[in-house]
Amino acid sequence: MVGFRDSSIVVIETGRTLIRAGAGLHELLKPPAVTFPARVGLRRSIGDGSNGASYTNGKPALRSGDSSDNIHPAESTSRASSLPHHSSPTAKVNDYLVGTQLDEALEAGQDILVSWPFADGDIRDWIQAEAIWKYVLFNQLSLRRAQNESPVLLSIAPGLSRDGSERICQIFFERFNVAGFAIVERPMAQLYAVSVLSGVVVDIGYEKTDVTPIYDGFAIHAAQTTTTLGIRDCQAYLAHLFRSNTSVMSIASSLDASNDPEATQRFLLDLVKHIWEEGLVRVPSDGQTIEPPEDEGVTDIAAVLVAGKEKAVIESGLKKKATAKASAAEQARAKEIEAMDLVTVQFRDHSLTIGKERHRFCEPLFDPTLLRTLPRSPGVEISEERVMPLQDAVGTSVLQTEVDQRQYIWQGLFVTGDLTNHVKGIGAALQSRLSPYILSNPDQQNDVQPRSIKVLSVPEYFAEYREKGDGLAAFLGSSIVAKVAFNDSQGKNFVSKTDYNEKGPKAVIEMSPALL
Amino acid sequence: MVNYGGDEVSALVVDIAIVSSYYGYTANASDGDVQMGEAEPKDDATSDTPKPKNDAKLYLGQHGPSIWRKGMEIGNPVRDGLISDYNPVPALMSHALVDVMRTNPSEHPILVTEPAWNTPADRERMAEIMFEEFQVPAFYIANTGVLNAFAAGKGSALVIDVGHSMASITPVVDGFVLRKGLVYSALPKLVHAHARHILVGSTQTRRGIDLYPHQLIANKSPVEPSAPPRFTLREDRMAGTTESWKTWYENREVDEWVQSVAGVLDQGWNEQAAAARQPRQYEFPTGYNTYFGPERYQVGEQFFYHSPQLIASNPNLPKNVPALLSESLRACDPDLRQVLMGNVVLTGGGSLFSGFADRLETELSRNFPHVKIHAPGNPIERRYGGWLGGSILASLGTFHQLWISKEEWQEHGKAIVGQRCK
Repeated sequence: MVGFRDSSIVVIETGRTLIRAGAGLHELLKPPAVTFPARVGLRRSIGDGSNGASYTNGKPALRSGDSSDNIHPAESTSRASSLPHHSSPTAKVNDYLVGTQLDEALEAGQDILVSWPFADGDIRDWIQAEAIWKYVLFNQLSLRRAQNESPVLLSIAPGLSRDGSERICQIFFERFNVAGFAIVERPMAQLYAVSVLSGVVVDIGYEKTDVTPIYDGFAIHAAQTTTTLGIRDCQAYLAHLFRSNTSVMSIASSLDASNDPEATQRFLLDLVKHIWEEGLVRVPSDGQTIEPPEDEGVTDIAAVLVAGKEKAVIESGLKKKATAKASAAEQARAKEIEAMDLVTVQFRDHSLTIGKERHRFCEPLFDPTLLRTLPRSPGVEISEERVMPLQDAVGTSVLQTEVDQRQYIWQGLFVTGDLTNHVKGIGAALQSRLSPYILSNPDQQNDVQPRSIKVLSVPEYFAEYREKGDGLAAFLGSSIVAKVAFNDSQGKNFVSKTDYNEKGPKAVIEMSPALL
Repeated sequence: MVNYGGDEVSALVVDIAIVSSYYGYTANASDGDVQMGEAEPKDDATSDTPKPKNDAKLYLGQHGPSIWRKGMEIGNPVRDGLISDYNPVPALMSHALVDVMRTNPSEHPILVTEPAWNTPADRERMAEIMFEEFQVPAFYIANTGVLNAFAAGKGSALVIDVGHSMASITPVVDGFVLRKGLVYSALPKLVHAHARHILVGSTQTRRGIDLYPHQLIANKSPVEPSAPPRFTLREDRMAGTTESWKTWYENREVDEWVQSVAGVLDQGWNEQAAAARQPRQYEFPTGYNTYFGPERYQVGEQFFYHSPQLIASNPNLPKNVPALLSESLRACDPDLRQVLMGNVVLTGGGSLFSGFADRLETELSRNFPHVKIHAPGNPIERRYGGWLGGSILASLGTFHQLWISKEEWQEHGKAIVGQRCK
């Protein structure tokens, strides 16, 4: 069998809310060329209409075994997402709008039902999933179905059913005519990206955070944990904090005269998003609040800022230095601003000054009770009873694994997800909060219990990823797997067309890097 | 993992055990294993109409018992290897098959395991649940003793299965259980109780150890070995903690201690040998840490030897392994004994106890000339032997005529289970 040319290999990362993809592997593995939200839209007219032919090319949907619906335990799983989902039995693949088409249609204010087919960490709707993958391959990466010479490596949520994997395989061969196919589970890919085989992957997503312990190259599915915390909660929290920042609120209220509270909230959320995506947020490594530096007698700068008195504080600081020369005063002011950690943000033609409170962005991840104080606002549903803080989720998850595996798993704490692209220090912050789960004194003569936790990040030698942060780990890891799997001329780790013709969809079970 | 070769049935194999249940497909051993245990929170004291027990909210699996919840009680349907309470079983099954495996049970034949001492009524009940509630197309219930022998690749074997609460010895000859030679006792419970006694009881050198779990501890600070721990409890949680949850978690802490430091001497109890071994340090969630010397070997000794005082003080003492062995072999024909002793299969999670296999070998070879013990080194194979054997059985082509199909169930009713599943 002939190996594939590196330039033809396609890698698709299917996350809960984001799709990343790229064609061609280079000497230096490149970041994804395509990124778009994992959502599809359906014009309401089609969704309701009964325009005939339903999807018949596959097995019936697996999830809702109608016979067993009534015997579900009260709270079965935290996997289910709150993102909208509309299933239409009559819609065909081509009816769905994906990517830019959908963005444009939404922009134009059309009446569209938006669905997130992967938000549960499973596949909610096969046709929607197919529509998204199809868009990636034939629209974004400009492949041609008739002459498709590209093998595809797909990374997807862990723990899919075997039927699910087989069906994905079927779609890629029969609908997309791929030359070869392999599946890798996302946490595995993420851990491969940091070049270890044992560890615990914390994937912070938009509304969910997945924690997956991995030992010796195998994800421990039984110990996997999902907690309903994510970027959304952080954004809502910081937006709430900004409400006490006068400079932000004055601009927010000047924007719309109508004083529409929803518009203000939207503005705040957009601002928060802008701020963390600009990389202006850091995470203090320990403690629930930021330790203010001992400077000029100001003890709680965050409180001062929240109270909107930063100017007064700066002035009082300046007065103390009144004896200094004018130029020194200038420097002092610059220093002052640095010490106060003020930043000026350009946002929608406005210039906003924001202080230390921005670093409190990630606090809800470690203390979800903070979210309870938030007023309920549209789009942000405060989750039911108790949401596990991140450190508890990671701790309990690792405690579910075997006693003798834990010390190895703790050597690979890896925090990834979109948030980590722009926000640094979550790993260290998590590490310091996980100390109850390891020995209190690392010098003990104890070879069973874990002594230390090691935080990992994407190695420097992936030059293209050096400035990108850890959030792209799933794509990087998938690229590594693709490179290894598809270059192996024996072809034991991917399904080739010949294999598919001989064995059918179930070939993917025995020939995928991660499914056994 | 290993590919066991394939038929197209894609049957599901369910092995119900006390600590964890494991579920998987046959043909290719893909095991998605699921932590089991179920819990029922008591009704809120404020609610005026107490709901019947059946309506209590169940928390299963990953987000189940291991997470602290106010007023949550812990239950387990399995007692002494048998299912004593069938109420939570459908929910557990559904969690495993639908939520974790993400399958539709009505599409797959299902093979369930049972301990050798299961009653006919119990297996009929299980068949009823699977056929009536899950609408499975075919069902079979197989004996764990036989399945463990199959997992070791043997048709005839003496299966020594040490589980979490029960230890059993099952003579299997040509794929059938020799009922008269079947013996079992709650020995692992005794070992666990002994370990707990060692930890909780105070000695001359140290006070009893607090077994609070992580989830009830607000903070701790490092202390010197054997120094009293410095920690604060989460007072907000203490009030809502139920007795059963606390006991469940304390038992877990004991188990972890046992897995980490306890062992058994391979040549029988010997004060000097035990003292000569390196003491091991262990830290509890409270931050308390100390060295465990000879006492960690006393734990394992309970599997093989009970002191006369202990026997005298407790008339219902579970039989230890040598006693079980001699009782089992006495019941078998003398000419079978040689075959069985040449095919001893050691299995079950409890047999992973450090040093257990070596000690068993010593005990056996003392009394029998030709002993051969099959004890897989891989902990997965040891722990999930029953599931593994079930997986092998269900993927055998010749096995397929044994399935009880849905039609047969509808035609013959419960009686078919006893006739078909020997």
